[in-house]
Amino acid sequence: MDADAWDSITQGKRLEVKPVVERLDDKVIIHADAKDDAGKLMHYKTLNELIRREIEAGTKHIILQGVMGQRYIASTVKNKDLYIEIHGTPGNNLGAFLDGATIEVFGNAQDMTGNTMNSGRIIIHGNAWDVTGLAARGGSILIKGHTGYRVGIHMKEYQGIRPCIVIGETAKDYLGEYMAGGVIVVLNFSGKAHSPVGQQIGAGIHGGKIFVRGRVEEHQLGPGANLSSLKEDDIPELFSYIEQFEKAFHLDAPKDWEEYVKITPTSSRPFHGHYDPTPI
Amino acid sequence: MKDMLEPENIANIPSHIDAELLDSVDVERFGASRPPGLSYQMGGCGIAGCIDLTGGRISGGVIARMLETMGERENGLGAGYACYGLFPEHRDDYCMQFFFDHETAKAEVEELLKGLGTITKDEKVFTQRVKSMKPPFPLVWRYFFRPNNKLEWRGRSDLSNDDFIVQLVMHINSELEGALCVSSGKDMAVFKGNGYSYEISKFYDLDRYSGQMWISHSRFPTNSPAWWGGAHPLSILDWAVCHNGEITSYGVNRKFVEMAGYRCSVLTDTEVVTYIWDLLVRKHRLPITAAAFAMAPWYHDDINRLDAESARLARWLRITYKEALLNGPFSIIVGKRQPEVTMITLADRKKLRPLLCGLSPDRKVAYAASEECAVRVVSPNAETWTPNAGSPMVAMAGRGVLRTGNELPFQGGV
Repeated sequence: MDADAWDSITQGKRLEVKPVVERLDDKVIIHADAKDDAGKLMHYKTLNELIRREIEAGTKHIILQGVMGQRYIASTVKNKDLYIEIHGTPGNNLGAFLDGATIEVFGNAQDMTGNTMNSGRIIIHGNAWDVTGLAARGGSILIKGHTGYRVGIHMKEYQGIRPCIVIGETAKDYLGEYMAGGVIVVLNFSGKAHSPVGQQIGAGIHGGKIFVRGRVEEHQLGPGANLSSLKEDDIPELFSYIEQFEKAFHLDAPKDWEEYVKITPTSSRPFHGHYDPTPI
Repeated sequence: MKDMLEPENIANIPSHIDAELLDSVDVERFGASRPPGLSYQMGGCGIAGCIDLTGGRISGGVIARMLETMGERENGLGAGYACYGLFPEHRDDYCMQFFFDHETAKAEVEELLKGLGTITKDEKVFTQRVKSMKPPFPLVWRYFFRPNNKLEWRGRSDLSNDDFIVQLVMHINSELEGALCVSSGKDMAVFKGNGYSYEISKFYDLDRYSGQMWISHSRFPTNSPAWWGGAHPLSILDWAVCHNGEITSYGVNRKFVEMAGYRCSVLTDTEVVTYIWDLLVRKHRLPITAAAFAMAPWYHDDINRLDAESARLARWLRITYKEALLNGPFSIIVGKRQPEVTMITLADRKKLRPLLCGLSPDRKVAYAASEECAVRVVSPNAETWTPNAGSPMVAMAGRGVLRTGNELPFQGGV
């Protein structure tokens, strides 16, 4: 993008909205709903470039207004003390490869939120749809509402670094598919669903844990998953995740521990012997 | 490696390897600039639809905005829109909309139609030059056609009008060079072409139209060529189908519809999906939920947990219509007009493609799209939900959302 075009976008010459970037004392508002002459919404590359410039300038609090499907927002951001507030509907891959910052979404998120995130927090005050937290390696994703299919697919952990996804309401099929580590909690907060999870839960799971509050039947488990009731020594760990959820949404989460079940791997190598038996 | 590719060394390469092929794989010659042929594009098709449940009308600008918001889901190689409830004054005539490459093809089609029925009206479909689009541009023409009462087509006189139109379209699309019938339903039309969604909406000036329902598609072609006829929606009679994904069972499905007299002519896998809907619902009179189950059936283990009557029906559908099973990832939006204008959405049984539905706060307009932003951009406070894998959402004008897509199979009364 040439310098003139850049200036005209950031200073709002061609745009119907005031300046696209509005500076307040300790924070910055970026109006992502700004349109160009042709009426086109801001492209995700422009929005992410604006965000990166603000981060480089040392801004600690960025507010995005009127986001409408722009992808890759705040991806790869490494600043631990950065807080990004999103109003609108962020697009796919929100916070991909996130490494430290906190993102709070006042609305619904689309697919692939927190793709391969390393650390940091993503808080969603609505629903987050399919493949949320895929291949997450650390950090936490807290969702007040529902999620879709394949949430937490191939999450992993390393020593003390353990990602977690806490879901306020329900999740659909293939929750924690190929899970290699980390924790998923499904709270079924309003308790309306017959079962808060779908089919093929933990298909191919070989590490990590899934806690579900509510009814889970054997046929809902995928290959390699094992269903058990909550043990006394699981409670402190589970409580630590629920506490994060309560703090984020200012809610009292249900602590009726007898309602919870735990899904864990039957072994660390569930498909051993299914394929080529040649030792490597 | 680098030395190997110096011109003097090319002689050492076996003669059956074309030396020109080496240009594009010579990655090491490039520094900061990306080698040609190795650029990477994110993408996937985008689908969007909206239907006014109270019988009101929606402007073409609404659907264009829905689709354009998902701009990352297309690469300029095809887009299209289908509008229902478009010609109330001609609602009893088949609206046959054509692409013509030359006047000869147009004359041939006209001659054919005049011999088989009456053209009650014909007109050029409004199109305008869009600077960014590259030629060729086909001539787009619309005929309002009423077939003769006494039908004689290939020696058969027992065909219904609908069957007759299907055969006519199959004949034109596979036999007449330079002519392609893109839609043939009553009170509906398809506006599609090769370009970005915003180019196609400008090319046809969609703002001039309004209808009860729109369904639309922006294309990211994966395994079939990008051309005007291959853009979605794919339509026959008043069916139109927009599809994101791949039909990997195309061969089996194609043989299934070909046995029933359909001919595949547009080189796009979605075509068979359209014909399967027509065959199962119009010809075989299956309810929508049963047809959807035949295309995206449950696994046998899951069927065993259904109630006895549903399980019996489910097994019967799996056995009878095993060639109608659509394998591979897909999410589709289907439009139909009989008995009322209806929007159906369906995702494959493993939910490998995105699909989201929405309902406006006043419960008047139902939406479906690949991404939530497409719904939010036209209805910021809509209620949104994701239908279950393999479970159709059905919204019918005058009757509301009959199925949200979260019910068990065969529920919803459609």
